[in-house]
Formats: sequence, C-alpha cells, structure tokens
Amino acid sequence: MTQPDQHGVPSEPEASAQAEPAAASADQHLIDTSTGRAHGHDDCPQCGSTEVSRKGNTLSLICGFCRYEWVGSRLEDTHGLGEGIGELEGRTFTSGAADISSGEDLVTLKCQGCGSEVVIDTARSLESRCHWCRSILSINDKIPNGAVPDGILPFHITKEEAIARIGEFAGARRFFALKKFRDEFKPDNVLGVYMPYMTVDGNVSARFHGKGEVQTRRYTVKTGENTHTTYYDANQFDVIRDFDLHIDDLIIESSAGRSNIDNRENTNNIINSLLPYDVKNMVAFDSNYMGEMTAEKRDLNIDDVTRKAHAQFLTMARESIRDDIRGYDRGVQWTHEDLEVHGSRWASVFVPVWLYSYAERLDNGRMMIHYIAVNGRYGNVMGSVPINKSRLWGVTALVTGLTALVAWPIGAAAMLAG
Amino acid sequence: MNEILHSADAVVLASSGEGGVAFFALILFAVPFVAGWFTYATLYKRYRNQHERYQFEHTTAAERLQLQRWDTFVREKKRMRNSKIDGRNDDNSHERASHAVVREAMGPRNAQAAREAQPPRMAQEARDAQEPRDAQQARDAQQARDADPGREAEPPREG
Repeated sequence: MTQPDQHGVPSEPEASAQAEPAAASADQHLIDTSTGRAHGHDDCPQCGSTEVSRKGNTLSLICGFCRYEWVGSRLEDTHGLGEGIGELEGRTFTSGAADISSGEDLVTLKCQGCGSEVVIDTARSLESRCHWCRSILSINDKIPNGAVPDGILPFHITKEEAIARIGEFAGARRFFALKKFRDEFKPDNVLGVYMPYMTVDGNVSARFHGKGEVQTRRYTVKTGENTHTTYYDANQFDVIRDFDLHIDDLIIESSAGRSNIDNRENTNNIINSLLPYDVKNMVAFDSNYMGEMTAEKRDLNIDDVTRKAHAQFLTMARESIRDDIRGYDRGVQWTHEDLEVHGSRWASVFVPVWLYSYAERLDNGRMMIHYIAVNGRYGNVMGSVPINKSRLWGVTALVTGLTALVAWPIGAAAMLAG
Repeated sequence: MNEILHSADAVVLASSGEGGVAFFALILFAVPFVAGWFTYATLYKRYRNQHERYQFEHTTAAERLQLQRWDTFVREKKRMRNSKIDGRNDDNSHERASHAVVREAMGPRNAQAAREAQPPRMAQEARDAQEPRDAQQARDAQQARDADPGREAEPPREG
C-alpha cells in the first residue's frame, strides 16, 4: 500500500507507470472509455453531495440530498460498440479490457471533504465511506488492476424476488437433498455480486470441407426365415461452405476462478448457465450503481481468454451453417474446419448475479461449493443442490426391484411358453 | 397378472421362434436395470444440473454473409446398413473436425511486437552464406547441355 500524493487521486506511481505499456502497444486499437475523473468524491452534478444512489430498478441515479436525477450513458451509444463489426481488423479493446498490469488491490484515497485517508479494497468494492466526515469516496476511473470495467448492468431483480426464486428452486428439490442442506437452507443469505465478464465482437471468415450423403433408396431384404435387413443407397458429395460471420457480443468469463468449469471439482457451470445478459444495455461504469453489492475483480487478460473465444467463434460458425446443409439427409462429416479471425473488439462489463452458496464436504474430504444463482437482469434461476446419495440409491434400488417383480415373471413365462 | 401373461404369449407368438423368445426374455431381464439407471440419472441431473451451460451458439447474435457453396458429386454408394453417414458431426457443432485451424489476423500484441523486434535468426544467416547446392549445380550443367548446338534429338523408338 502506498500513500496518496495529491488531492483525491490514488497514489500508485508504480501502477501508473506499469499501465503505460499496455496502452502504448494498443495504438489505434484502443477505445478510450476512461472518464478522466479523479478518484474520491463522485458527487451530484447539481448540489455536490456524495449521497448518490440508484433509483429503484432503473438506470437512473438520484441524489439523496437534492433529489436531482440523471441517467448513465449507454456504452453502445457513446463508443459505438455495436457498430462496424465487418470493418474490425486486428484487436480492438476498450480501456477497461486493457491488460492487467498491477496486482495491488488496496487503493488509498484522500477525502476531498476532510482530508483524511481512506483505503478501498478494490477486489471487493469500489466505494467506501469516509469514517470521519461520512462522505462517500469512489473509484471513478480505470485502474490497472482490472477492478474497474467499462460498463455495468445494474440489478433489475430485487433481493426479495431472488429469495423467492431461490426458495422455490430449492423447495422443488427437497426430497433427495442432503439433510444438512435442508436444515441449514436459508435463502435470506443470498448475496448480490457483480461478476466480471468480457464481451467480444468478431469479424471472422469460416471455410468448412467435408462429405455429405443424400439418401436415394431405402429397402428391406429378407435375410432368413424370420429376419430382415434394411439397406440404404445414397449419393455422396464433396461439400464446401465458405462464408463470413459477424458475431455480436459473445460473453466470456474474465475471472480465472469462474472460468474454470469442471463438474467434478466445482459448480461454476451454474453461474455460466445464467448467461446471456442484455449487455447491449450496459451503461458506462459508475460505482454509484453498485451500492452495497460486492464485486469480483477481473484477473484474466484478453490473451488469456482468446483461445476460448476463438473456439466459441468456430462453434458458432458451425452452428450457423447447419440450416444450409439440411438437404444432406444422411448428414455431413466435416473433415476440415478453417476459421480466420480478421478482427475482434473487446470490452469488460460487470453483470449482476444473486448468489446462494452452500459448502458440502465430500467423502474424500474435499469441499464442494454448490451455487443456486439468479440472473440479476432476467431472473432465470439455476442451481446445484447437494444430494443425499443413500436416499437416491435407495429409491433407485426400489424402482429396480419393483420393475423386476413385474418384468422377470413375464420373461420367465415367455421362456416357458416358448 | 393373467392379462400380462396373455400379452406376453401374444408377443412370443408374434416373434415366432426360439430366437425371438430368448431375445424377448433377455430384454425383460434387462428392463429393471435400465429403469434403475434411468431413475438415478434423471434425479441426479435434476438436482445437480451438471449439464447446464451457456448456450452461446444459440443466444449470441451472428450474421452470416457472402456464403459460397460447392457441392460436387463423388459417387453412388449401395447397400449400406447405417441410416446416417459414417463419422457424422454436423449435428454437434461442439465436436471438432479432424483438421481444425484457427488463425488470427494479428497475433497477440506483445508477442507480435517481440517477434518483430527480434534480430534475423542464425539459421537464416547460415542459409544466406551457403554455397549453391549440388543439385543446383547439376541443373545449371543440364541447361548448358541443352543449349549445346552439337547435340541432336534422339530418333523416335520403334515399336
């Protein structure tokens, strides 16, 4: 942690110096979304009060002192993030998606109200209240540790709604749930969290080569006294498809912990399954939208997620051509896939998630965190409920036994009759 | 139970033959295990939702442009037992083809800059310094022989 060197500006000389190479190497491909505002007071434009909060579920911010209201700007409008995908060449990225060049999470701000120093742990929050004069201090511009995204999608689903949906989800899965989970389940413990993601647009060309078959005849031949065999005749074709694809706002995890999706080790797929979000509506980041919610810090750079993005581009290209090869009723075997990424455009965003978590100790002593999560914009819920395996095995054995009681006598009778 | 046995007899008669009866009995023997497996898998899936994921290929907006098609007839295939083409993978866009290549127009920013800043490699210098190879010398000699006005073309062989 370092000391502040000027009024309201975080004194991170080494961090600032480290931020330069990433920006410099970006050249013309950087879309500057920085605000240019000093960290510290993020006050009302009308009266200067720092008591600013979000107005209900809207995108408006409201001053708690003079009740002045204003709306954050949509990044798609201000920076043209939804346009010109076909003209993209090379990598274009916004300030919030630039490489992380500092691991320092603690930022010290000097309060403009009273001059005291306030430390903010940017790994969890981007706002803090001065403990002396009670004014709110905020991180108002990008910092090189990846904590501040370009845009944010504020919560639309309220906590009460999230609690109801999580309760309903778990309630429908009580019978085979672990007894400890049933006893300890309290949906009131749900937490609102902003998760870091990147959105990527892609200007790509794809070329697929393979062979396809069209059935010309189907016939059944008697091959024995009681047996028949069905045969198929078909025409085989050499199939090539070549096309461009403009991909708009593919969403990629930018937190290493969350992007590790392995069903044997974790239930991160639950959070992943809440996607997509309406990222077209993201507003320029303003910490006043966060309120008391916590946030997870981005810790992956574009280079870290490029491979995953390209694999998903290729999958999307394959999916987009399916309707064009329906004529091959026996199917197509693609043997060669070729994808050229001409250009991509990256931005970072916070998306809202209501999260209920439960830690289960597995038989091997390892801990498995089960999530029940709600998309904070659309309200869709998904979860993983720990299972009472002995009860599940018991019911499985019961079903097997009852079916055997019916099926096996019939089989025995059939054998005797035959 | 009598009705069930009657229906079993009907099935046995329909299959007409010892092979058919044995096959039917085998299926009935396996049915409880299949039912048990199905029960376990369905309930486990309902509680753990391990199959759930972001359906990005269906939900992400993508515009396809400038599609070109080549469909060339290769041959006619007869008497195939399978109703689908061997190795079919067009119905699963996550399954990669045997040869899949992805290229990005611009390499990773820093890596690309570093590559450009590199001095020419030693191998290139060695290649530049190499003497012309023997094969090249032989080709040069061949050209000289062809240009020799003293040589005459061989007469066509008989027969």
